[in-house]
Amino acid sequence: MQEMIFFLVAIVLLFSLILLFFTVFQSAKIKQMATEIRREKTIAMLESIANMPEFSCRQGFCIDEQKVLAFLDKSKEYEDFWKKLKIALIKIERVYPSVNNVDCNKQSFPNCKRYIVYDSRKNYEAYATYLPLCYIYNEGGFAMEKCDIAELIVGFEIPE
Amino acid sequence: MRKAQFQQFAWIFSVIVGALILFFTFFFLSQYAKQVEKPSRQITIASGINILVEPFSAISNLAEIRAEILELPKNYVVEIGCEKNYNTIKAKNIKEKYFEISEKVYDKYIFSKTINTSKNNKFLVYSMPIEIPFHVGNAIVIVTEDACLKDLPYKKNELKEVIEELEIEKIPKINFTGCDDKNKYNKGEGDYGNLGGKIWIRNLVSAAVFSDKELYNCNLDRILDRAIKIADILKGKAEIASVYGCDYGNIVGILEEYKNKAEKLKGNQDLAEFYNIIKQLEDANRNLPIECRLF
Repeated sequence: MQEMIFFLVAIVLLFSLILLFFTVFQSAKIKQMATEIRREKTIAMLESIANMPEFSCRQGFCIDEQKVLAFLDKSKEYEDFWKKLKIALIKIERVYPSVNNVDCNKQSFPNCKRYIVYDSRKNYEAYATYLPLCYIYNEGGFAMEKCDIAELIVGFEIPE
Repeated sequence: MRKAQFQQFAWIFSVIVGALILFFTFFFLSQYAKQVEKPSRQITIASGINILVEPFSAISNLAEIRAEILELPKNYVVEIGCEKNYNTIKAKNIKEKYFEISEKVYDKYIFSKTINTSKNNKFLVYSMPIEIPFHVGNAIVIVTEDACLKDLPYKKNELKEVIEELEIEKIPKINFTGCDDKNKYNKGEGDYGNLGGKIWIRNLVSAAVFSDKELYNCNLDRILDRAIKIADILKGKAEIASVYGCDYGNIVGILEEYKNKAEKLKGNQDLAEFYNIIKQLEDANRNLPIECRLF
């Protein structure tokens, strides 16, 4: 009788362990897949953000710096939009030529380093892409278009 | 005697415990299967509508015409709705009473009639840049029924070319050349005819053909909201760039008027004044030196 009880308890324990192992394995796999999907989506989104009519140049894949400057005044109106898309940070950093390490605004433009377009101050996972940052400047009394190289950094909220 | 009774009890006990183990095993397995089945159904439908739901998916954001095939599971109903700041996509199995999936889409302007996949589960979906006269976003149009766009006033050939590249059989089609009696667009019948003057915003004509009046008007208001914000940004750019040698003349004033007219257009049908300002803005921008143009 005792042997029988021990045997049955052992079987129940064995099945429980198998089930537990299977659950842990499955959830780890799902988490890994979710991370990979998030990364792929994020990289695809970088290009799209640069292409938003609020930032994009007239032609080609580049950011219009003077639009970004004008956008800074309206950035509050877009906060809800970024929040809904789970974006935590949007930053544009001038990479070339090297400039003063100061935030950009109407006074410091164009000799400035970075634009903080949006910062929710939440934890994020950031991705970046390089692209031209173009603006109109004056040379010898004539308006001309000039492009620097910038890094667009977008941080996405890390799901809890 | 006692030994025989004990052996009999041992047998009954083992049968009962064995039955309990089997019962619990099947019970947990069936519970697990139910848990897995529902999300997997949701995943199937969600992956179908992914190109519509995904923020900033390529179909919606590049300023060019694109087309794709939207494939949904069989026997589903998908409804596209619109609120002040977003589109809603709701999906349910035909047999179900309630919607299993309900998603909000903030960065797209989706135009479609209710999709029913009982007869056909593949649909053409195309995106068209909305330029009034600057780029505001893209209209995502789902073609749920055959239609004729022979007289499409804007980018007809580009749209035709992109759609023809797909070459998918057995989906609702757009006829760009000849029109038969079923044609709603050229005859001004159906929903298109009820939309009034508002439809005549450039490339939103085809969007009007493939959506109902309520959805169209709500999306148009969302588009105008964004156009007002972008007009503000362009105005800001003009003010900043004017310091660097660009003479914008009266364009800042036109942009201000554009914002007022767009605001007035929301909720009413009169487009005539808005057309004038679109034209004025387009001309003023075209007359600027290339390097100074705002859009």
